[in-house]
Formats: sequence, C-alpha cells, structure tokens
Amino acid sequence: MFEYVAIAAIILAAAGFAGWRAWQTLRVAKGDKACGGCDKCGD
Amino acid sequence: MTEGHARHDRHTVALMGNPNTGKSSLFSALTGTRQKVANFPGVTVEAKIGTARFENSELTIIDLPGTYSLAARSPDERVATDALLGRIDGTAKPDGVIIVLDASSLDRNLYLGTQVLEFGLPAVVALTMVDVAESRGITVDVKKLSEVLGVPVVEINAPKGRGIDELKSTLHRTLHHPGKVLELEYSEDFLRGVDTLHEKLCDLGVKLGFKPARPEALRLLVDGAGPFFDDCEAVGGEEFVNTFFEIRERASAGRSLSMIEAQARYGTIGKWMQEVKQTEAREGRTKTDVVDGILTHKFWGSLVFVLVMGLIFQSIYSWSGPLMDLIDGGFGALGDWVGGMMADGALKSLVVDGIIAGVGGVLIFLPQILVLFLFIAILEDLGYMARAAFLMDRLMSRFGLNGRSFIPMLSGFACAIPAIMGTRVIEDRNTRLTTIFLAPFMSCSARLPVYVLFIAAFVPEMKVLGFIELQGLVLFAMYWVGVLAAIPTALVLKKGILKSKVTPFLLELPSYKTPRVKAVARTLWERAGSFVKRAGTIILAVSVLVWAAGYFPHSQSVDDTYDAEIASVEAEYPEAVVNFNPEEDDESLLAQFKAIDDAHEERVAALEEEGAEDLEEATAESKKQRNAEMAKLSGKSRLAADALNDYASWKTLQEQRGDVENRRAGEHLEESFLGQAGHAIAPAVAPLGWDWRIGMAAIASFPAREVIVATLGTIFNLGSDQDEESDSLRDVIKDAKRADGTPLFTLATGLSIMVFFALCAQCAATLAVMRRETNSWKWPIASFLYMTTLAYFASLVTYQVAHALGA
Amino acid sequence: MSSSTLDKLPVGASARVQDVSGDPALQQRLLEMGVLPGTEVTVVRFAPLGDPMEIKVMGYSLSLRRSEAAHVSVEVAS
Repeated sequence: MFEYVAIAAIILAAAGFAGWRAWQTLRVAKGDKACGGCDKCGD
Repeated sequence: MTEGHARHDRHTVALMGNPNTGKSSLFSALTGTRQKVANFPGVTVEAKIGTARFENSELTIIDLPGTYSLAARSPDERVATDALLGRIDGTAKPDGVIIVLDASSLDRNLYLGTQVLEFGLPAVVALTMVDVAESRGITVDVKKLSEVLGVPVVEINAPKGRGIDELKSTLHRTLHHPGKVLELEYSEDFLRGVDTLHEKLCDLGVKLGFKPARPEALRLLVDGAGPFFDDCEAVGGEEFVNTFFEIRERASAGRSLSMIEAQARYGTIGKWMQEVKQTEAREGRTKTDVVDGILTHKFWGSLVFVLVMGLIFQSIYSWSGPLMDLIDGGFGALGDWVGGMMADGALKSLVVDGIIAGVGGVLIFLPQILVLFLFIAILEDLGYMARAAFLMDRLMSRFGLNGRSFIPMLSGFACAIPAIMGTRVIEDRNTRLTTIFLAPFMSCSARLPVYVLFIAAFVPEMKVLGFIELQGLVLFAMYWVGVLAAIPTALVLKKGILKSKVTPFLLELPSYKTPRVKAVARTLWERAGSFVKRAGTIILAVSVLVWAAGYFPHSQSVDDTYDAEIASVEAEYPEAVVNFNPEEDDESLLAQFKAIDDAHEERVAALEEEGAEDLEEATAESKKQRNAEMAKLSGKSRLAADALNDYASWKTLQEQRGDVENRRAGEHLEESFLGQAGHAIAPAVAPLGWDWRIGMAAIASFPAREVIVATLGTIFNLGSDQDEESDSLRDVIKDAKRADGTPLFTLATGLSIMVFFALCAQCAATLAVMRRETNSWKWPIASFLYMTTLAYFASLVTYQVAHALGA
Repeated sequence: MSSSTLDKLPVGASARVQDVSGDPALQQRLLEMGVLPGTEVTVVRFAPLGDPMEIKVMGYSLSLRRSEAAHVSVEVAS
C-alpha cells in the first residue's frame, strides 16, 4: 500500500513540475517573462 | 532612490564603460561573489547586480552592458540610458556612476565618458590598462585628467586588486556631493534644438509616463530614429513628428547632427588630451600586433582557426574520459546499492530504472561540457573571439549574414536561447530573422550528450593519421552537419522572403589579454551549475514520467503467464537446485562450487580490465585451475560429486530463469503506454533504422534533446532483467537486440540518430523564445516543421547510405 | 596630397579622414568609433578572404568592411 502511495506521489510531483515548467515556457513565448528559460539566471 | 536611503548609507551605483576595458574584472573585484543577474523586461542584454561594502556603507552596483555610445537604435542600446535615469523596474535610480576608462585608448573611451557626464550624476572615473598604455609609450596624467573632467580619477588594476579600496573610498566621498553637468561646446543652433525638443518632450511627459531628461532630448535629436522616437511617436502622433523634424532641420543648419555631436565630443577630448596624455613614439610592434600578424594572417590565421576548433573537439574526448568513468561507476554503484536495499517491485524500479538510470545517464556528460566551455571561456577572455568574427565575416556575408550574426551563432553552440536573444544587436530586421531561424542549427550543448553516447558506443577508438582521434573527428563532423544545413537555408531565406540590404559591421579588435583564472572558473562554475540543475529538475521529472509511461499498466496477466513458465521450467530440476539461494547459503557444497566458479570469473574479469594481451591463454589457464579445484572437491565424497552435477544444473536453470525474466520485462515494456505509442510510430521510423523504442525515446525528448539519453537509460533498464547489475548505458545499448535477435544499434543506426538530433527542433524553450522574439507563432511553427522534416530525411539518407556501405 | 577612399588604401598606408558619409546609422557608428574628419587612420591588414579590413584609429584596432570603408573619404599625404 505504502509503495503505491509513494509512487503516486512521486509521479504527481513530477507531472506537476513538468506542467509548471511548460506553463513557464508558454509565458516566455507570450513575453510575460523576460527570461528565456535557459536556467542561467536561476529564475 | 529616495533621500532616506541615502542617509542610511546605502547607495546604488551604475558601472559603465566600453567593452574590453576590464569592466567585468572591476565588477568582480568590487563585489566578489555577491552578485546576481538582473533581467530587464523586453531586452536581451543582461546586467549584473552586486553588492560592495565600504566601512559601514553598502553599495549596490549595477554592471551595465559595455557600450561605445549611448546612441540607441535598438531597445538593447537604450537600457544604459534607462538605467542611468532609474527607469528600470526593480532597480533603483543610481546615486552615482563609475566610468571605466581604458588608458590605452583613452580618446575613444571618453566619447561615452562625455555622454555619461552630461547626465550630471556624481561620478568617479576608474582608469584601467595603465600598464598596457605605458607599454605603448602612452602616459596619462591622472591629476590633469581629473581636472579637465571635473570628477575624481582613480587608477586601478582589478586583476591585481590595486586601487579598489581607493576607488571605494573616493566613491563614498563623491556620493555625498551633488554631481556636475558637463557642458560641451556645441553650436548655438544645436543647443537651441536640444532645449526646444526638451520642452516639447516635457509636454509629452505625462503621456510618456516619465519626465524626460535633457540628455535624452539630445539623444533623440541626434539619433532621429530608435525606440525612444517610436515611444514619442506613439503618444505624440503626427503633430509631434512634424515638429520634431522641424526642430532637427533648424538644429542641424544643413549639417549632419551625428557629425556635430561627434566633432563637439572629439574636439573637446582632443583639447583635453594635449594636457593629459603624452605619447612617445615606440619603435617596433606591440605584442598584439605580432600575435595578430599570425592569427589573422591569410594562411596561418585560417590554419590556426581550423586547428583550434579541431583541438577543442579532440580534447573533449581525451580529457574527460577518466572523470566520466568515475561518474559512470558512481551511478552504477549507487543503483546497485539502492537496489540491494529495496524490495523488488514498482518503487524499486522507479528509483533504480527511472531516477538513477535517467539522471545518471545525463550527468555523465558534465566533464565533456566543462571541457568545451573551458575552451570557449579561455578564447573569449583571450580576445580571440573577435578575431574569429573578423576571419569569418566575409563568409557570413556571402550567406546574407554579417559579423554581428557570427557572435549569436557562436553562442548557439552553447545554447540556442541566448543566441536567439543575442540577435537583438542586429539592427536589420530581415538579417535578424534569418539569424534567429538559423541559430537552432548550431549544435548546442544539449546535443553533446547524444553525440557522445553514440560515438562512444559505435565509433571505434582509434587514431587517424597517427594522432587524430577518430571519435573526436566524428564529433567535429557532427558539428558541421548543422552548419552545412544552415548554409543553404540562409541562402534561400535571404534570396527569397527575407531580402535586405547589407548592415554595418564595425568591430573593435581588442588587444590580447592573458585569460584570468577567476573569470574562466566562474564561467565553468555557472555552466556546471545550470547543467546539474537541469538534470536535477526537469530531466528528473521527465525521467519519472517516462518511467511511469514505460512501467504501467504492468498487467497481472503478463506476470501470471511468466510465473507459470518459470514453474514449469523449475519442475524439471531437483528441489535442492531450485531452492538454492547463494545469498543465504554460503556453506553447502553447492555454495562451495559456486565460490570456486566465481573466483574464476573474477580472475577473467580482472584480466579483461587490464586488457591483458594473452587474454585467451590466461582464460584457459584460469579455467584449468577452476576445473582442478572442482575435481579435487568433488573427488572427496559421493555427496560432493552429486553437488557438482547440481551446480551445473543450477547454472543452466539460472540462464533459463534470466531468459524468462528478460522476456517478461520486455513484454511489460511493450504492453506499457510508452510501448504502445512506440509501436504506433514504428513504421514511420523504420526506414531510419530505428525500432519502436528509439522512436518513442525521440518523441519523449520533445521538451529537450538531452532527455533522449535519460529516456534510453530508462527504457533499456526497464526492458532488461531487474536483477542484473546496472551496466553503463553505453554498454546496455551495445547489447540491445531487435525482435529477430540482431543488434538494435549499429554504426548506421547511431549515425542516423545523431544526424536526426543535429537537425531536429526538439527544444520547447527555443521555440518559445522564438515566438517571443519574433512576436508571432509563424516563425516557431515554420522552424519546427522545417527542422523536423529536414532531420527526418537527412537521417533517412544517412541510415540507408551507411547501411548499404555495411556499417 | 591625393584624395581617395579608405577601402582603396594599401596595407600599411596612413591617411587623414576628410569626410564620412553613408546612411545615417553607418555614419553615426563610424563617427562614434573615432573615424571622423581630421583623424589619422592606418590600414593594418585585410582578412584572409579579402574582407573585412583592419585599421588603426585613435590608437586601437577597428575592423570594418570595405563597402563601409568606401564611405570614408581620405587624403593621403604623398
């Protein structure tokens, strides 16, 4: 049981993070965010 | 900044100067490691912001991009003026300014210097390169310079740390007094023009959203066009434009306004220099002249250029090997250690096959990325990059680009994002769009892992002509694939939809400098940091998702089938053989035979590791020894003789079990979501020599190219027996088989994958930046379709040709 | 004294700038970089492919294309 809860949590976290990054990327595309997403600035 | 702040001894100071004046060393010397990068909205140039301390006061220093003039024809060039006036969100209005002047070309440096002094901010001049100037016979009278400029001048040598404290204390004193506006001798018509325009701008002020300063009026008057003019036109309309051109007409009195400005500035500077500077003619040429005689020589210069590029690619292989082996071994051991502690099951698979295999597969390339950037950082610091642009401009202009395109293109070899952002320095819109479209063709560092993986696995380690590493040569060639694809693309774009006239190409060739260890180390540190961060964030997340897509649904019916098969295999063996578990049993006769066998295998492995020349003989020798030991043991009793037979049966059983487990893992993967999607696209990628797994990995790497390496790591680990020791990805893909048992990856497949990744547009961030910079989805969509199509067909041709040649 | 344009000078030749023309952006850029009437320029070399050229002006090295140098009229001391 614990195993499946842990896996579900990890996958959800990964999906959430990837989704958040996708959203950030879209913001860059629209010009809301100055950073190009190259990670150099740590933003 | 408000007065309240000033009283509490916190000040903001702008750092300004020409490029190549030692401005960044000064910034580092002042602020040390306390710095961050500031993003100015809407522009590509970046400024660094750092903190310096002096006694009890704190100085926030804004390091503005190096520039020759405040004239602003592009938004990037306007940043300096905006920053001086405190018009940038998140940065305070500077209380003062440090003007960096290079003593060895003081005249030209003072052009910007006089422009800044007209703003009337409290200012201190930091005089750099005094030693360089002296070596050329130029002596600068610091006291006189201070007198004519009306601001304190401090001589500094930042790399050696000289003058930094004096600069801080001078600055501290200066900031407490109001600055003085520098008055130059312009014609009366010109001055009247500035004042009239300034009034006009103040009328517009409310609509503009800020109070225009007088030096801004001067800039607008002279520059005529540019971002500030666009803003004014937007709020002032036709009425403003008409008045503006009338004012310009009167102010110029028939001459060119740029000429009036330049002659006023250089005229005054020339007069000052008569008092300040003494030049004594030196015989012979400077070091830079001598070096340039070679590095930009018709023949030697071109040769050195090719050699330098070749050396970089060769070193990437020969230098980073040991470190890569270390990282490789580390992750392998980590996987085994973690795997040994966890119970078999989905969670273990997630951690070992998903996370460790995925992230480890990417992190292993850190050493190579560091070697590449070590060279780039050194060449940049040395001053060679400007020479490279000088050498390449003719070539670039033939393809409708120019030297200014060369710099963004060069940074494209690091990452297409800064390259695309860097195209803002290109004034001509069509040249800029062409450069943006071409930048992703340059082989960025994210492609490096893909190249390195497949080259290491399939290109033999050998030397060509006795000293060139074949692997390095292939890597060099991969970088040319992108360039060669970019050339016809550029020609088509420039001759067709993006025609434009030639744009100016003025480039300073700075004197050569010894690369500074600190600056190089800082660049390396930043690169390593961002690479590790990517591996730890987005690549980690994608690895987990790819693992999940490759693990689930993991149906019970598959397990049932294979459990039944194992049971039927085991039924043919005696119970003692089936139940033998070497991990719990190390005393029985069976275990003793296993120990003898293991010892033999260890000896052979050690021999292979050493690369012993008489490997076959030595193996036979070791086998003989093993057989003798086994015979001795089995001769002791009847029971022992039986145990030897059992041990032989157990070894066969283990092989059968391993085979079943491999097929079980393989079927789970094929049945998974990832497997199903892979099978769906398999027919499309078959002509490229790819099977469904590679096709799937290519699709999963859409967000970022280097993800393919992590994805392959996860896929091939999932598709193999989980008890097997974690091999490096390089070895795993060497062993991967197609359904018919032939090796999946051959040299032809490897080349086909590399060519695909050299040309494809698998980078979401690049496409996003393209959308923003061109302000239209048209360009990223065109880029994606064009690059993907090109990649597909180039890869197709590569595979078919290589395959036909027997690779 | 003879008049010419900067792009036509041979390597090693020095000359005094007489006038700078060209479109406003190019003209402004040249002036800012110190190529203005009255200054002395020396041709240092041409790039391996024949273009751009390197000149010495105000004590530093500047690279510019021949097509740009053609807008700089100079007077060669003979």
